[in-house]
Amino acid sequence: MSFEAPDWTTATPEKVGEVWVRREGDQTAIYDPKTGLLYALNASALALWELCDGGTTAPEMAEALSELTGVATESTLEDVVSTLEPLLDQGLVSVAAVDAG
Amino acid sequence: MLKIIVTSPDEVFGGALAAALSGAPDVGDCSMLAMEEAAAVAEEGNTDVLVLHAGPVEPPDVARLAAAAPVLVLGTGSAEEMIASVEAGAMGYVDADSPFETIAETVRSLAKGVATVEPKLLGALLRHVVERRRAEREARKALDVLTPRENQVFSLLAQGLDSGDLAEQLFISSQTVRTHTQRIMTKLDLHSRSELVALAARCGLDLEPIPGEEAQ
Repeated sequence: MSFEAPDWTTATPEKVGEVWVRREGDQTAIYDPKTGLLYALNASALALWELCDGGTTAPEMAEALSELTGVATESTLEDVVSTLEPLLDQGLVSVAAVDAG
Repeated sequence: MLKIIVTSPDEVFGGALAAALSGAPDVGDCSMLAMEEAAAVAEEGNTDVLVLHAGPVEPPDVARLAAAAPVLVLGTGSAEEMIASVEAGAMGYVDADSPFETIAETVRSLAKGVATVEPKLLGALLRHVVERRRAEREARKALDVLTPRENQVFSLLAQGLDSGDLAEQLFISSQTVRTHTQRIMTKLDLHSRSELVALAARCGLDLEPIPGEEAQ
């Protein structure tokens, strides 16, 4: 396993493994039966986690957020990365880099 | 103090919501109006939020109201309806069955200029925007055959400028505009102004309504 920090300008995060999801109001609990750990995600984190399909890059997520919020893409990319990094640390997503060609 | 308009085909629901919002300490004026009247009052300006309760939501209604004031749609809570509402210009969307506090808080968010949708629908909205932007990027590749000047003419034609306006804006003659237009139509295999506008829309360019004239 590599512990190198991903290049978030090309990374395409992907949800990992089978987890159980339970929504309760604005909060969502994600239970990973493999580790027995329970994670709480707010609405924004859940929305980004749902976008982690292995084909959507962090900048694409940031551009979409920017369009919806009117906040500059540079800022939304920081938000996306700061949301995805803990998910990566917790093993809820994995990251593969897109070949920039 | 906020000025709010509520419009709903359900007078009991709309009236109750307007009364409840009127009771909030930060609301100065909240009226329940029929759609036409709501649009007319909003067009006068000074409306902080227009709450549109509808089932089903009609995107043209949303677009018309959104041109006059920030619109919060109270709908069925489906992702498809939320996406259609946002694409039509709504600034907020929540399920009409949400608790009053949720609706009131969303109204306040919109009044502050913060776009807000039902949290559970945020993922679907983000997915929709990502996919639309991908499709627009793909469509824009077709424009790679155009020169920078032709790209400029293409955008202005799509925005509805006629040859005279376009010539004036680009400091070129009408004949040059016509030449650029002919080349653009040939390169992109377009046969009318409406086809050009449709392509521009697929490319995600901002468009204005255009007169029904055909390109030469």
